[in-house]
Amino acid sequence: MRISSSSVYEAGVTSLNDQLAKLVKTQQQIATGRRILSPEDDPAGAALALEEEKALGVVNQYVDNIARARSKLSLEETVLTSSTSVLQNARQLVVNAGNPTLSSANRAALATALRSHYDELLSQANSKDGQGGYLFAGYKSSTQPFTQTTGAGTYAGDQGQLKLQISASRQLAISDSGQDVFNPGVSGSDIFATLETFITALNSGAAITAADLNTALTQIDTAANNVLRIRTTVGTRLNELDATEGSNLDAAFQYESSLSNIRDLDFARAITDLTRQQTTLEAAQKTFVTVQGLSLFNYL
Amino acid sequence: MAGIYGIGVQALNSAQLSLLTAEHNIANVNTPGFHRQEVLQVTNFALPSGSGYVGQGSQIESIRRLYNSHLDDQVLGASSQSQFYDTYYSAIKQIDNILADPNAGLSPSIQGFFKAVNTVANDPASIPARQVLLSGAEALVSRFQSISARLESIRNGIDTQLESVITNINSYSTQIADLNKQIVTAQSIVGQPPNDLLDQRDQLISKLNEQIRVTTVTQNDGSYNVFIGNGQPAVVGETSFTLALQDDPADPAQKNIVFAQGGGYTTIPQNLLENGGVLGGLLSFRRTSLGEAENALGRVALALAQTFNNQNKLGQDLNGVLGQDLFSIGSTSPTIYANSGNSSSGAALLTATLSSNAAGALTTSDYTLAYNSASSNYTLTQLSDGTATTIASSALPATTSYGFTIALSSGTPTNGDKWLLLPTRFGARDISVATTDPNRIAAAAPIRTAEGATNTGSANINLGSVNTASQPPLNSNLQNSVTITFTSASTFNVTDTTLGSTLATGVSYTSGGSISYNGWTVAISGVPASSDTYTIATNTGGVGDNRNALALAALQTSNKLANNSSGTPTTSYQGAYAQLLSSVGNKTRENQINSAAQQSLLSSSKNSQQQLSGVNLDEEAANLLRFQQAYQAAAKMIQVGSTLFDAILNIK
Repeated sequence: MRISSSSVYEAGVTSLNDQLAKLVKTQQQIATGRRILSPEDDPAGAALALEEEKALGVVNQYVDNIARARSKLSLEETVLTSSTSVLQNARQLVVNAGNPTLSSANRAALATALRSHYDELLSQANSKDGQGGYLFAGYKSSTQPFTQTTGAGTYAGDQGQLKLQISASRQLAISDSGQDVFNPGVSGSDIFATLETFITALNSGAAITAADLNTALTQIDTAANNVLRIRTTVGTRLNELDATEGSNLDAAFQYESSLSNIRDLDFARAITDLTRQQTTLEAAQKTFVTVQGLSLFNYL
Repeated sequence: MAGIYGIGVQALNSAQLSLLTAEHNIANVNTPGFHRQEVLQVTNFALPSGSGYVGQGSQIESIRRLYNSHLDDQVLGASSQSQFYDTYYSAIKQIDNILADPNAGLSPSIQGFFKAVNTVANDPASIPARQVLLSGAEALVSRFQSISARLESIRNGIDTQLESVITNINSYSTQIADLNKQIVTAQSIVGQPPNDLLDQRDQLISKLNEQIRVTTVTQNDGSYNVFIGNGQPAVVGETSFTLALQDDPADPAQKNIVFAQGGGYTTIPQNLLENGGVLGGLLSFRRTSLGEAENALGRVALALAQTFNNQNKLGQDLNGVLGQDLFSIGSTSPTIYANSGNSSSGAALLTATLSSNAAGALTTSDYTLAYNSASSNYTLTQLSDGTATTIASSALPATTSYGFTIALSSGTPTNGDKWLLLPTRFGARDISVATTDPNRIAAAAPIRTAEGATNTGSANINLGSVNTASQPPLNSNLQNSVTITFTSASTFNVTDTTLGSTLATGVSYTSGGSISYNGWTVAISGVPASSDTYTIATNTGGVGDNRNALALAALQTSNKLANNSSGTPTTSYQGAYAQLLSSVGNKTRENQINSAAQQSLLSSSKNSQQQLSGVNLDEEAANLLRFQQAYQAAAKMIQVGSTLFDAILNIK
């Protein structure tokens, strides 16, 4: 078979180019740590990596949302715990006020003490979060929900409940409206109305009747039970946050490892490849020089 | 005696020619397109005599090149295909690289944008969080625009490349016509083939073939006729024809190859030029991959903008008013181009507008419209698969199933009028953020629910939601105050207290069942008591409400694009982008593989061709030795002749 001199040369150069291209590719993969340098390298893998990245981003967002939810709910739990203790103290004062030996001055003193509990409770009902929004105003977070009035409590908030997305399928409530917590305007369980009525009775100078006492105690107990009920649901929600966070972190880990499987380089293999390609290129260079040096003209 | 001299001198000449030819071969070992030459040495007519035929030596009949048209044609075909795939590959590789760049890709921007939406959902009253959302929207829009700009610059680059390809083609055609003339003349002078001129012409054909696939037909006088496309002549004998670029009559944004003939220009169907060469690669890439990439990107932009706007309109912003568009789509989606050949007398002006819920219906295809006066119909053809839809002209304005509406805004169509419709091409280029006011993000729902303070039953109403099925446009009574009053534990009446009208009476109650009026849906669950009331009213002061922000955030993971045959969207924004990525990646890979395959086919056919026509220096070195010896032997013959002649002269 005839072989033309330019074929010999071209074959040599082509093979050198090919070997070099492979070497450079492996080198780039090692330098970036990525198996897929552009979608061309693995179109299906590149598309899948995008989807996994998106899923990972979404799950991480849920984790962020959970952190936010936890801080909101913890704050609410703290406030509700204080409210419970204020209600307990108020109840004690009311019980004391039932003592028939008290003078009207004693009752006035009790009224002052009870008023300070009232104020404390009112300030708790008007608590704000770190961003300056009212905790118990429903959606009307910039409107002060409770104001001191005579008679029944008035509520300027609404019954809205803020929810956050904590997993793909779950929106969790991270607030409770003042309506649900303190039942303003609801006859028989409006704690502000109850306290206001009792303070008025203490200040009236007359002794507290057994009926007044019973009504007040029943109503304070109803209110305290309601606050406790809400506190329990907050606790349940905090537990759910922990559980969901765990499963979100698991999912994030899964996505990360699958993303890494798709996109990242197997270094051990790449280094081996690089060494092999380097050897091949050196061999190609050496043989190229040798073959090109062969000529009959050397002997003429 | 004379014979001895004669044979000697002829042998000397033959050896000299052979030596010259070997030297010519050696000198041209690196000349592109050179075919090895050899001398054709034949014996002279023998002289008949009584003793038999006396040989009269040899002469050189011709010097010929080692050429086989079959082998050379194979190289031509392979190199034309190889150029096609190389060109396509380097063009699509540019898109591949744009999409590969993690900093330039679209996905991180979409991710960042929705992260900002979630920040607003977490803290709906916060102005800084809202500002972050607007910045995220700006970043997203600018990413769409920058990718689109890079695709557009690839499109413009193609016009520039076409320009230079056409220049090359025209120049090669001229040179081939010129060589045709020289070859015919040279051949007629000595009746021998002008080998080097033939090589030059074949080399030009090969160069031409790298630019555009051509076929050649050899004429009796030795000239070539060269044809392109489906038989348009590029060279006929000594005449060459010119190709030029002209605006595409259908799409003014791109240029077509036209053929100069008879002082005018004739259009060549562009798909006929896609059969090889650099030109074929460029045209094919522009028609398929580039258009598809622009459209796919535009579709993601349009779908995201429109679905986000639609959801924002279902909400209430921080100013307490209903939400408006957050993104602006621009008026170029869809774009409709009238063919420049349309009749000017009717001057029909068609317009196309995007449907209000187009996201799922939009495809990545372009469309053509053609008018037929006999049936008074328009035919709408989806270019990606050729699906044709007939629209009666009386049906205009007509809503198509592709997410746009077509209307005749003025004039009368004439038979044969054509239009090109690009629904998504400019979607990514022309998207922008419609507001700079962070208050305008509608994080809240426009309604709120409440339970009557004196209710005695234990049923609760949920927070309610705005229906998305046929809204926007919003139900005009959406924010009216509505009271649901139970008349027993199992029935209720519904009254619109704003209008003072009764919406329903005696509705039977199911715990947890959906109750929908005025464009909203609520659910009441538990056991209600007679005369319990529940109200639905406008969400005044609801700055801490994040219900609509949650719905906006959920758009990221919802399927909004690419309806299946039953009209259900099948993919999300990022999913559609991933499809683009995978499609470009596949096409790039396919062309890379084809290019490599053609390269190896090319080198194998080149090897076959070189086996015959290539110069081997060792062979020529051996030939030099051989012909040197032949020359020396011939010289010796003359010397012998001379000695013999002297012997005769010495007879006295």
